[in-house]
Amino acid sequence: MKRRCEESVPLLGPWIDGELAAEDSAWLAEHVDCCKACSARKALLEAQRDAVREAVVGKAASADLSGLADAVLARLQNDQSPAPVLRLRVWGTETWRAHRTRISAAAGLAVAASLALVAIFSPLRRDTPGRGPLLADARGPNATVEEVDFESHEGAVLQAGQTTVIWVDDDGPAVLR
Amino acid sequence: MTESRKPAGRGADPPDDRSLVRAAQGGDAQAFRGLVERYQRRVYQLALGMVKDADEAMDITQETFVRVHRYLPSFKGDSSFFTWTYRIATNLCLDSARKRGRTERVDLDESDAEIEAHMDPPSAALAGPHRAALNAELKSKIDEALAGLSENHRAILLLREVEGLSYEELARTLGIRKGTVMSRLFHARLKMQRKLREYLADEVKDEGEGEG
Ligand SMILES: [Zn+2]
Repeated sequence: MKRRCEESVPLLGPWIDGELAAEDSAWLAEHVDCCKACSARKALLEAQRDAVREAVVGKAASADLSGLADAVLARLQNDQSPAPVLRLRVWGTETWRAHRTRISAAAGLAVAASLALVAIFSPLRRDTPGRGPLLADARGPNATVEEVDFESHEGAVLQAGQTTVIWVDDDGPAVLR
Repeated sequence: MTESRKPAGRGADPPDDRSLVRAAQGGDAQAFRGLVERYQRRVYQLALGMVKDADEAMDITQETFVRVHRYLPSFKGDSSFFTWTYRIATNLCLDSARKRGRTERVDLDESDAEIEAHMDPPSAALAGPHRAALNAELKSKIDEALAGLSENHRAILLLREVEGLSYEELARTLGIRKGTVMSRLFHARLKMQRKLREYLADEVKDEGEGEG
């Protein structure tokens, strides 16, 4: 049975990226082999990838970075004060509520003004209230979120202006720093 | 349990990231310098692609490594060092772009109808081999097209096409799900194609064998 172009188009990218499961790669290769349009689409994706890479790498290649490491090390010498690393641990909604004040204090933040938490329920998981995702909203000058380590959990970071919203899909711990 | 220590190769392979990171975590400035020198161009490349301005890209690169150093104690080695570094660099780039308010932050991905409309096959000439060198016009069109993307689309496109991150690494770097990686990348590429396809087609045609 022949698969159609509509099915193959969204998979061409993952395919050239080597991110497609073997069974999908197999039928896709078969389809592309006998479909001129998809074969051309694939070629376009590859041409674009190569062109973007070449353009960006070429542009950066001429930059003189010889003084950069020195500049960084010099800044580190002048910047000996321990960094205000914001490390937040996000638990399930219940635990979070119980620990919110303590966490806020540890992070040097005023509870109400600078750190707020809103519990929302995922539209996909309406059936399991209490295991819904957390919406942690850390704002304020001290609350720069350097990175979010979701560990084994699902999550997303949404950013809007000064506000960073970290969304964690289950009630296991995730470390935000 | 004691950690077995391999004898240091004599002038052979350069030390791997892991041992440099460990040494830097222990306060070895030269080890940290080694890490900076190893990754500075890749970070700069990413920053330049993101913010376009060379001075700003240089500032971001410097700031990235200052922060890398700052957060080094908390780096657990569960992701590769460069992925972790990219994560910091990407966040700085996104912050910087946002501060300038240069483009709309919200990603409006294409509707199905728009994708459908885009489904007409590109010209057959594209099936030929690619040109090795880009012409100046295409280069400037690529610049333009990148600048026209939202930050999120630009970041994922650069991290994938230029830096070659896997989908798993993209998910970790950008703090998104793997499913989101796929769709975001799809839309970012689509938007680039809109602007580049005619130029890319020319590139390929120039060199293509023009098979029937
Ligand atoms: Zn097809």
